[in-house]
Amino acid sequence: MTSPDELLLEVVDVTTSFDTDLGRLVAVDGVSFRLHRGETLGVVGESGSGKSVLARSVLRLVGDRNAQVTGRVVLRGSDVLKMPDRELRRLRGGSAAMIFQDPMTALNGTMRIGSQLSESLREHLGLRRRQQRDASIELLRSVGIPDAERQLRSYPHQLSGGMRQRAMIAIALACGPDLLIADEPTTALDVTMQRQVLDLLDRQRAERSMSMMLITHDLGVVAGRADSIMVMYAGRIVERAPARRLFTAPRHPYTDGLLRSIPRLSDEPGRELATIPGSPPIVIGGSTACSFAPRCPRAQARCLNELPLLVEDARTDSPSSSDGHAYACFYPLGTESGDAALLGNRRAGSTAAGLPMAAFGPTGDGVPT
Amino acid sequence: MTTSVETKGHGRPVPLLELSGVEVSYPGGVRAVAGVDLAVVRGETLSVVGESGCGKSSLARAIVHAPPPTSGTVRFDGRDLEALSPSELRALRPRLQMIFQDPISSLNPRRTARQIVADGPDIWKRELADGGGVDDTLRKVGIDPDRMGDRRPHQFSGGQCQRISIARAVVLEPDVLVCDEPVSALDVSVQAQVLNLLRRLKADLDLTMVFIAHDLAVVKNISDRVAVMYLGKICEIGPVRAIYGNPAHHYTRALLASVPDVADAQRSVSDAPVSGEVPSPSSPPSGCRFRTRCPRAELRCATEEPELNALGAGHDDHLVACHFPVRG
Ligand SMILES: Nc1ncnc2c1ncn2[C@@H]1O[C@H](COP(=O)(O)OP(=O)(O)OP(=O)(O)O)[C@@H](O)[C@H]1O
Ligand SMILES: Nc1ncnc2c1ncn2[C@@H]1O[C@H](COP(=O)(O)OP(=O)(O)OP(=O)(O)O)[C@@H](O)[C@H]1O
Ligand code: SF4
Ligand SMILES: [Mg+2]
Ligand SMILES: [Mg+2]
Repeated sequence: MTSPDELLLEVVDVTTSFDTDLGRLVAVDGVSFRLHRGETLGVVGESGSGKSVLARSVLRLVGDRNAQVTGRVVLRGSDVLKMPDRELRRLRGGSAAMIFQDPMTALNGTMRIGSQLSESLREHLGLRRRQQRDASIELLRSVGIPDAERQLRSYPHQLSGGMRQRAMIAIALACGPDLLIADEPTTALDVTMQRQVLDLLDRQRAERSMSMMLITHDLGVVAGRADSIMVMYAGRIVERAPARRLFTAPRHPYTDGLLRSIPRLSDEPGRELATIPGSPPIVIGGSTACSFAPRCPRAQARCLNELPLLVEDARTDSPSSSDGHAYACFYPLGTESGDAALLGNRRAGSTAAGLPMAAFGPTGDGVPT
Repeated sequence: MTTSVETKGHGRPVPLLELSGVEVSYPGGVRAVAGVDLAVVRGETLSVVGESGCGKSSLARAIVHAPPPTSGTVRFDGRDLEALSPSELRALRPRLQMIFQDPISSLNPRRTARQIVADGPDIWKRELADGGGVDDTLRKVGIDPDRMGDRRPHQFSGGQCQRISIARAVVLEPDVLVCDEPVSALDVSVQAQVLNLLRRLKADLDLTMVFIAHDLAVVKNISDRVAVMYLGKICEIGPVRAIYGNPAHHYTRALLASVPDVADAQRSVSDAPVSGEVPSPSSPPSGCRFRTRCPRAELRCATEEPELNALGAGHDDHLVACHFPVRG
């Protein structure tokens, strides 16, 4: 998957927080990344890690009264967070589109699917009536909706969950966006339909050099589809790497834990799965420590007192140090200090955060290399 | 309740759960389950996989008679559930439990974890083996009763709620546990916790499980045997290793090829997945129901419905319904 080097999107230090009774909840915490034309960026992480809020922040769709978004989102040279409303409206549903996690919130429940498609086609592409209808049918067919002509007259509630999801994808693709943000586009679908939809998105990407942010909690979904992958934990990017690299040589203990807990088709039946003990935190105020420390098999005193920043991997065995692999951890996998931290915790029987090593099960705490 | 495993003449254990000719129809002519025969022996985990809408949940509900199938019989421990009086069925209920897909909405939000789990024995007027049964069960599923027993569902995560609903089902010490998509809504890390738990409970309690899921990697991890369902019928069934190592039905092969796997980052996505539209369950294709999407279909497939038969000598526990199965 080679991509033309043209930079489409640059996200710089985006932080999104919400005022809550508990205090200032930081849902996205200083996230930066770049996306080139035709490139697919996977975003993975557990429920609540901030994936959807990040997606909404990029398209300035965080409308909540209690929300505050800072940082820069530069799309083709202009800052989305600062542009006038008129320009923003032209952008959304035009050169940038989003597929939402919950299709019912994105579709208009009182409008027929056909009218919603036509509206989008008219507004952004200026198609005439007859053309709108033909293009709409073609779009519904392309997302695998059977009996497309009849379904134009359906209201969203008359479609099954999976069909609704695909109708929304059709609407998002209607104007041929340069940037598509797809938030869990296939979670509601079964494997065969999932595959068809991902193939469709991938075709769009290839044919029109569309760039895509593919958000999911299913690492399998992004494995074969994304050029690079960002792993989010508690609102921060904890690791970013080319897809292959992330799966074969993860550096962050959280990424490693995620990878180990997935049952794989290639595994023998009955394998005891590794687990990540505990559950993800909610970040109130700022972080002054590694937020993964309470669940990490490698945690040392430093992890509890200092925030690890995202740094480029400077490993010596790598042909070039600029292959885009970065992680935020003081004791990463595959390093001497990381191995020593893990072995030390094993010897002590618990981590610096007081978590017993037994909580990881027989193979769950990772292997020193 | 520990019936010893009896054997019939030919040396196979008598099934604890036996379905024959089970059909489930809905108004409007939808035959969601179109004739299923199944036998599950004690201690075994049988999984049912298949695309959305193929009838998995309808089958699961029919097994626990909630509601009973439209036709066909479900035998539990040798007894036809249909032939039982309401009070006999009631008495049997605790031994045949089901876990539903949506953990949060299936728990009463006003009751504490302890109360939710204790409700089971209460409703069924059952004495627990010892007074501490509820707390023990909570502990078994990884919920500390002293610290968390008095919390209510909204104070638990999705995975914790799912574990509470498992506790509610297993506190009754059921013989059979039917799980309908018990991990589909969960994050991978939580999913792993729940799968490990089910595997441990199965060993500790000698549970017999019917496990419904659409994730084929999850199914491989948890099952002894796997049944593949297509449009209301079983098209292939066999030991987990046979189904994954040597899939014989073209649908099974296509399903396996559709699975997104983390190994995909290393291989190219090029095997043929299932394509084409799913036919309507109210008017399935003639002959083989899969023929409209099958790469191997011939004229015979349109005229003659293939029966579920053993794949061949030496494979008598691996059955496939296909005129042209893939061998070896
Ligand atoms: N309007 C809001 N007010 C307060 N907190 C919010 C608001 N919207 C989101 N959050 C919080 O922000 C955090 C991140 O939420 P987000 O929806 O981005 O998670 P996610 O990674 O998309 O999870 P999932 O996989 O479940 O979709 C969560 O803790 C969520 O509760
Ligand atoms: N109460 C009902 N009334 C009418 N039709 C129904 C009802 N419940 C299910 N069906 C239909 O029966 C068929 C099988 O549904 P079922 O829920 O058993 O499928 P499933 O395999 O569990 O699917 P999923 O993977 O999406 O849960 C579908 O066509 C569905 O639309
Ligand atoms: S080793 Fe320390 S810094 Fe790295 S993930 Fe674990 S707790 Fe965080
Ligand atoms: Mg989300
Ligand atoms: Mg179902």
